[in-house]
Amino acid sequence: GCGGNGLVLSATDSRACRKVAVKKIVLSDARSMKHALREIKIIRRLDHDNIVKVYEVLGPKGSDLQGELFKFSVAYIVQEYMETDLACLLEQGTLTEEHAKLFMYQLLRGLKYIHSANVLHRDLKPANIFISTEDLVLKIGDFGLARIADQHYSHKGYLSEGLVTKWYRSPRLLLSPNNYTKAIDMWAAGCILAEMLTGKMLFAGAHELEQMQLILDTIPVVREEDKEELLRVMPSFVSSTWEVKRPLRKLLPDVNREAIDFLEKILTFSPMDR
Amino acid sequence: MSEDSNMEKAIKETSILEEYSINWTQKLGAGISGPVRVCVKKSTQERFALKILLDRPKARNEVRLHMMCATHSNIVEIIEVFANSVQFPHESSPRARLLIVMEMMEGGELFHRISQHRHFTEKQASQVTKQATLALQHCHLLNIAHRDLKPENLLFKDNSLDAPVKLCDFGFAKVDQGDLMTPQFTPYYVAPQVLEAQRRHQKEKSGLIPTSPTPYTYNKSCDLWSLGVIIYVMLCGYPPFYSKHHSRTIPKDMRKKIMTGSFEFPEEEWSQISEMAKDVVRKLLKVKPEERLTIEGVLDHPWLNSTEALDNVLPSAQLMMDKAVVAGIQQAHAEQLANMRIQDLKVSLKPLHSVNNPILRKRKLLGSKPKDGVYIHDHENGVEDSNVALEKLRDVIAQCILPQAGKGENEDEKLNEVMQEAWKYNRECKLLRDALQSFSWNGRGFTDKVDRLKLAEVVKQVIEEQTLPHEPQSSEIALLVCRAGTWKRL
Repeated sequence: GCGGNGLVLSATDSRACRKVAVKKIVLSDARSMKHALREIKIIRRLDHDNIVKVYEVLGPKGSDLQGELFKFSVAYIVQEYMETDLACLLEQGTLTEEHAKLFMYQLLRGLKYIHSANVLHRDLKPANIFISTEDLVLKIGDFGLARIADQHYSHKGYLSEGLVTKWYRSPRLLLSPNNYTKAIDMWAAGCILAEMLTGKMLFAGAHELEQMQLILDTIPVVREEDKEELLRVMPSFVSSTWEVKRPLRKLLPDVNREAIDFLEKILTFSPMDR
Repeated sequence: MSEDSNMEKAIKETSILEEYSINWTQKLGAGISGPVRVCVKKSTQERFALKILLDRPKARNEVRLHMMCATHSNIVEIIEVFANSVQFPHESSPRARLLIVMEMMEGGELFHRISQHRHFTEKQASQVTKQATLALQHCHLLNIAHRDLKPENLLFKDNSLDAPVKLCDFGFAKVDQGDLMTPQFTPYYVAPQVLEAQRRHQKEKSGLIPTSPTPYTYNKSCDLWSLGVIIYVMLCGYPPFYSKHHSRTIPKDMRKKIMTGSFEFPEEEWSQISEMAKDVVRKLLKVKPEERLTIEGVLDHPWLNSTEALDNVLPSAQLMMDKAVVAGIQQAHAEQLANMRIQDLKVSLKPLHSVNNPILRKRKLLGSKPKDGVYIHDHENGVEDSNVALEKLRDVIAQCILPQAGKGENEDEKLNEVMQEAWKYNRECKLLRDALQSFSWNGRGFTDKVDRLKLAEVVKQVIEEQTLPHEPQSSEIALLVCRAGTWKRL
């Protein structure tokens, strides 16, 4: 298939006799190569049941990258092969509640590990969450490569109406695109849980402004500083009473109360409350 | 060849800033190739639309095909093209780019127009159709397939009632030499032949069918199918082929509808729409290209040439106001653009009781569900302190490895802080103490410039030394309690 960051092929490592996924990354300049390799170093040090394992990183024709950081314009990441990803599964509809719980548990377990190493994923979404259909092991993949390898222009100001959708972005990240904290991964994890239970994306805005509107319709804003910032940034879209039109319980009527309670605690507007 | 040389001559090498000022922050829209901005000609103060592409063969192709077509009054005009080096704020160096100056379409997109004019009539719809068809005819006479015909690519010149409609965005366009086979489409408007090309392409790729010496191809008539879909949406406000679920790829039920040409004229909206209009739609949405209405057939159709009054107000204006419908369409577009693939594979999940999952295995070994709020430890206090010490060391590694976004001084201070914390919890570690001496650590900070990668490597060895006598940390904490205590236990 084609991952978001380039061509991804499955292959067999002939030395280690194991099936691997090989991802080709095209690096257009020295700076992005440097950033990508730094990210790769992070990934290679992460060793956990619920993180996709990166075995090695090679240059063209399988050459060793050691000491030749800036000579290549492509790199190949040899990593653990996983049969499918959560996006493919959700494509087919909802998961059972027990599958969703098992996957969510493993997702949080993986997040706890990387957050304890002070690493942020920053691009958590179903397509970056891999599932082994054999034993239902879930692994988080594609660490930060989307940001490093895809050097697309990112809006540094306030909300924009560009075509790029950011369905798993937390309200803080929508307001301040470069304000990355561990809490943004938790927001994305909450959206993913809701999607596993309902088969639908939780907040699927066509653009950032609408994304924020959808969030405000459902997630209450309780802190004064958040209200002040919203009034400054998008005054015409905020209702004067700060009422939510569709609280989570009404938005997800078929989801059981305990899962709703969990979602209400993880999908808070302020990152500090998450 | 002569066309190519003419095109190359038309591209200017001088800086665009000599003749135009550019509004970098105002974006008019986004095509498949990128955002479109406003620029102003300095000599006349005229406003134009500016599209900036990386200078690549694909971009040159887009420019060439658009320039070939742009002589028609229903196609957005290209004023001139510049080849300049441009550096955006997030880039470290300038890159070669094509800057395409086009006429400004002040009237905006077709759907937006329909939703604003709440009295959009069938006559107006037929007028839009005629102009779109004339634009398409012009392309096809040049043997060029547009391949991305959709309402977003139909723009009004201005806001007057009889403003002309023009076709834009040739990012997917291609000369039809009988070799159109690369699947290029956005959902809702995609022709069945393109879906079939996609299906075969995927099967060949995965080896399910051999790569054919005569690959499956489609032709310019895929644009006519898209035209049929656009007419349908204009008339009633929603697409003919749809799915109940918004999805990141074309859902199976929607694909099946497209492949079989199954659509309806629901009574609620279509009872007030003329039979002539329905006839055009039916004849365009034929699965077999040879059965499909031709361009000339559309232009000759009574619906486009009737002197009869077609003043009935269409329901599309009201339905177009329904934000959920528009958002759904836009969402599908955006997702499809970002993820040009269709998953054919059916994946099924095993029930939990028949799965050998490590988490489930551990729960069986423990024999019971964990108590509220309790981690299961091998050692109580020692492991707690040890965990903190290890976490501080990991923070040092993260600080060394993470890309340095800020100023050097701030980063150095952060490294000193993190190292100080780790030092506080790891004073007894001889390996760490010896290593830090070689990095000029004075107990509170580094006095010299630090090679961060080497420091990270050393700290990693310290962590490995501390964890070797015990099980890896991930096993020591056997279970994680979910944040919401009341959520059902796994």
